[in-house]
This record gives sequence, C-alpha cells and structure tokens, in this order.
Amino acid sequence: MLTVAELNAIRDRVRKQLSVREPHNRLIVGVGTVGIAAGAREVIVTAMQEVSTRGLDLVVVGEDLALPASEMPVVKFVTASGEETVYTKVTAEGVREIIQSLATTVGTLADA
Amino acid sequence: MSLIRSHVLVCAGTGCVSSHSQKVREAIHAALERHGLADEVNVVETGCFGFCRMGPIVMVYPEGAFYCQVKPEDAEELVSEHLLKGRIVERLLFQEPVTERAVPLFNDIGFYKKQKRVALRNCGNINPECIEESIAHDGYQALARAVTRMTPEEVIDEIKHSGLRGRGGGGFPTGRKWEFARASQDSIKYVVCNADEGDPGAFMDRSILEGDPHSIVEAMAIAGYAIGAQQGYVYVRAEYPIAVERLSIAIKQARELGLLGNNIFGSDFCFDLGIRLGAGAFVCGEETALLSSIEGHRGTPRPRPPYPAVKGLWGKPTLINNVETLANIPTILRHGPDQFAATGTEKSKGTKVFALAGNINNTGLVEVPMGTTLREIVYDIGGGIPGGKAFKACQTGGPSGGCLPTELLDTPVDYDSLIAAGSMMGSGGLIIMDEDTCMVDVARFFLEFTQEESCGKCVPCREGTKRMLEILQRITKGEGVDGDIELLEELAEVISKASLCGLGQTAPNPVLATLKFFREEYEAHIKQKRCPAGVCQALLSYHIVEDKCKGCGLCKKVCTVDAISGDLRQPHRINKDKCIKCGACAAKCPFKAISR
Repeated sequence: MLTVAELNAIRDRVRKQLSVREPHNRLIVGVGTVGIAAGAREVIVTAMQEVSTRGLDLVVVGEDLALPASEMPVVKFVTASGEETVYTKVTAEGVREIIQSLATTVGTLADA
Repeated sequence: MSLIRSHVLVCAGTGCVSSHSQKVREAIHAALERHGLADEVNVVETGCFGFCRMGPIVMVYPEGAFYCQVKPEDAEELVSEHLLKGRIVERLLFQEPVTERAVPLFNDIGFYKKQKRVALRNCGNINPECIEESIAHDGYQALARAVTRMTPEEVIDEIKHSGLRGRGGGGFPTGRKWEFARASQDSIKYVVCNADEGDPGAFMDRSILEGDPHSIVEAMAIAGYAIGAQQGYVYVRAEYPIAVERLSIAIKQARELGLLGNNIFGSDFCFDLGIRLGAGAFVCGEETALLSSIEGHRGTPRPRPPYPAVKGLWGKPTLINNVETLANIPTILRHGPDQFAATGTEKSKGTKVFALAGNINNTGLVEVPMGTTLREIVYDIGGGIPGGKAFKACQTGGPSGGCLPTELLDTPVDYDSLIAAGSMMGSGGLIIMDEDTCMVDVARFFLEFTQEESCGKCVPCREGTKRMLEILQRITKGEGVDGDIELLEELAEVISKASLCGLGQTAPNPVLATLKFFREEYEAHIKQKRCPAGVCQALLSYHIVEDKCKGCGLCKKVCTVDAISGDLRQPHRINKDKCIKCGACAAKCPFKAISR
C-alpha cells in the first residue's frame, strides 16, 4: 500500500532522471571531430560525473560547435532563457572547476 | 545516480511497429554499443506521437530533434553523428512539404503547431511500460487527491463543472452520468471502459491505451471512488494486441505498488481492474451489447431504459465511459475544472482527438481544442490534399456519421455544430475525400459495413440495411431505376426511428448525408448511367480519341481481352462489348488518347 508521500517521492526521484527531456540550463561540450581530437570525450564524461555527484540541475549535451582547433575543447554554458557563456581550451580538471563555479547559479535538483 | 545525458525515444505504437520501429530500436542499441555510448544514452520505447505518416519516429533529447521515417540502416549515422558528435542529422528531419525546409523541433512542425495535446499529453513522452515514468509525469496524483482530500460528491461536482462530454460519440455530459451511477443504491457497482473502438479508420483510443495506459487505470479508480464501485473492466477489442499487452503490464505494476487493490493510499477505498477482450464485433461498441458480451452472451443490445447506470453488468449499476473521456479525468482533477473549461466552445469544452485519414497529406492523430474549424484541421494541420487535388468532402463520425462538403469547411468542430450541419462528432474519425471519390460508392461502402455488423436482433436494422445496401449496389452497377432515391429515403426514416440501438439508428446517415449534398451524383448514376467521379467500374466506358491516336498499338498489346482493334499507324478502336474496363490501355497510352 503506497502512501501519498511515497508517491511524491517516486515522482521527484524519477523526474530528475527524465529532466533531460525538458528545456533546461545546459552545459554544451563541443564534440565534433575537432573537439574529440582535442580531448572532448574526457571533458564530457568528467562533466557528467561532476554534475551527477553534485546533484546539479544542469543538463550536459554534446554538440558539434564547429570552432577552430586552437580553441578546442570548448564548453558553453547556456541558461534556459538562452544566455551564453563560452569557455575555451577546457581540460577535464577545468570543466570540474567551471561546474563548481556554476553550482549556485543552477542550483541542485533537490531545490528544482 | 545515472550518467545518462541523452534520451532517444522510439515510437512503439502499432503504426510504427508495423513499419519496423522495433528493428530501428535494436539497431540504435547495437550502434550505441559499438561506439561505447550505451551508458550515456537511454533508449526508450514510447507510445504514438500521432504523426503516423512519418513513422517510424525517433525523438532525441535534450535537443528535441524530431526524426522521421527512420530505418534500421539509419541507426549508425544517428548514433555516430548526433549522439557522438552532436551534429543533428538533417536528412532525417521533417521537411515542410512546400518549402522543403528541414524543421528540427517538434513544436515548430506545422502538424503540431495548432494542436493542444491533453488526452495525448504523455503519448510519445514516456515509456508506457514503466509506471515510474507515468508517476514522474504526475500519474496517480489526481487519484491521491480524490481519495485522501475529496468526497465522492466533490469529485463528481468537479467533473460536472468541467463540462466534459462523452468522447465516444454520444457526447453525453460525463459528470451527470457519474451522478446517476452514484445515485443508484447498491453495494455492488461496476466501472467499465469502452475500448472497443470499432469505427473504421479510428485509432485514438488505441494510441491512448498503447501510449499512456496508466491514465486509464487512474481514471477508472477515480470513477470507482466517485460512484462507489470496487471492480472495473476494460473491454478492449482483440484486434489491439499491443494495447492489451501494455494495459496488462500497467495493471500489474499498479497492483504491485498498491495503487490498485485494498486500502488505496491508506483509505477505505478498494478497487481492482480486469481486462475483457472483444471478438471482432462492431456492435459491441454499443454499451448494452458490450455489457452483454462481458457477461458471456452474444453481443446484442437491450432496450433502454433501464440505463446501465441503474441496471447494467449482471443487473448492477454500471458506469461506462469511453477511453478518451477517461483520459481527460486526471487532468481535470489535477488542474481544476475551470482550466479544462477554458479550452473549447461554450457547450463543448476541452479538446478532441481526431484520426485524420483518407486523401490527406498528414495522416495521423491530431488533438485540437473544440471549435477549431474543419478548414484548419484539413489544411493547416493536415497539410492539404495530396497531388494538389480538390477537396470534395470530409466524413465525420464513421459509419454513423455524415459528410461535410466544401461549402461547410468553415464549420467549427464541436458536438452541436456538427449535428446542425447534418453530421455528428462520432468517435473522431475524419476521412478526407478528394475529387476522385464517388459519394454513392462511399455510402455503399459504409452501409456494407453496418449491414455486415448488424447483430440481427431487430427487424428494421437486419432487414432494412440489407435492402438499402441492395439498392445502392444496384445503383453503382448501373442498374438504378427511377424511384430508388425516394425508396432509400423512406427506408432510412423507418430504420433510424425503429432500430433498437445506435448501430441501426445511425446506419442510414451516410446515405442521407450524401443525398443531401451530392444528390446530382445519385441522379447521374441512375438516369444517365454515369459515375461523374469515374469510380464505379460498371459505369465506366473507355474510348480512344481518334485525332490523338497515333496508331502505335501499345494499347492493343496490353489489353488482356483483345478488345482493341486497329492497324499500325491507323486510329485504333475499343470494342465496348469486350472491354472489361480495367483501364490498362489508358494507363499505357503515351499520347493520352484514351479517355473515360
């Protein structure tokens, strides 16, 4: 027998898992061939781990940003309303720091 | 926590499955494994997106890219380009028919822009075989509110205030029906869901059952609470195996969580659901015939009164509602009746799901606010008639409905406007017909259907539809005589007034509607033995236009009955007595010298 509180707990937990299907703050990692050659795969996997561990309300996306190799790997933070901040030559450690700095802006899924 | 960064939703509604969407899904899985992305991407089966002509449909989040007509061979490109490198695969996106511009986002596609998906809210968004996804989309919240914070009377009140009317065709105010069922005094009552959906071409209910079965489970439990029932049955036609499967899984999962069974949410309310299968009888969509079928008898209707709300299944008070009607219930209780009533017209609140079929570019499922005009549905959403042909008529209400010709294209689609125009809403099938359709043949087609489906219990339907069909068959074969039209009208009056159930009462409607707007076509068939649309084979005659004929002899070669004669480079001739009117010669002629 399920209580209403338990129903709500399931709803909140699974909503987070499905949040990728809604418009959101997102962290875009350039994963075109140029980006991958510069090490973007490591960046995107690290980004996902970091966001997950901190439970942040942030969606990590891979896109072909078509930017020059001199800037890659590139990471772009885009808010739900469309404002962009671009970071260039980002390493795996670098993306961890970026995410740390964005933590208060995006908030955690628990507050969402 | 999972490290999933992308969701790939593959449509697994009946339409897409028959176009091999399961193979597409498997191919995507395999490609993900090959590229080492299986842990980052979730592949989910969903219900019907509605844009069936463009299936199999695959949607990729978070971009929301809408991919159409995806084949298993496309999986490699989808994964290596989009999921690995973030490049949207343009060639698989939807392309606007006129501009041929690729439209990546779901909501920007013309087909979806004017729709308001309420009953279909979760179809295409969730995995219907996972109760937790339904819960994440507010599933069972309405049931929780009803059972823990409202009295049954308050629930019924909200349904009444919403203005919801039956979506199966009758359009009876749902709140009032629930009230009648509550008022009947009996310790045993039943809730039944009519999922028989017999209208040819209609698949609204099927899509809801396949794409969001929990909305029905929840709605039936709410109904049980409201009227005082502890047992419900969903009567599904056996021709919907995927729907039956999804519904079974949904019921099982609901029981496991305690959302069905005893003491739901800790209250005194107990409710459970069973599934009963139909066996291919259109008449079992009629409520009393349906109940008869559940009881184990042959599906034949009973006279009413007494209505099922008073005396239904096994003589007990029974509430019967259609699938789409039920799909709206959780929304009304979650957001309140006023929000529901804010959409639609004064007497027809909310939205309606239509199955667009026939001669139209965008076939599929559409959900629009009541009051949207037919023109908007046909042209803005439906994309117009293929081949640039002219619109001739739109059949609404299936075999029980009528047709709306060009002059009525601006009719708002709601219960009362359609009845005033001589048709009816019906369950929501919209069959679009172009200039090459013979309206007499259409009437014959629908009558053939109702005649075959007649259960035979009452004379007016059993004998009357048979005789009407005979007359129509004679007319389409060129054997119509003076007085046939008047006879059809006389028979129609008797059958509609004296039949025991809705099948018989509405069977003459297609004939009456086509007579009303296309009488001259009937007269051409009878008096001139001519079919203006060029459909009725017996009335066709092919002849070669002498000054266009170059005497090449291609037609003579392709004629299977040697009906064409002529020497090389001399105009050829068709022997009308031998001609079987197959049209092969006209199709073959390179000079378009053969006409009908």
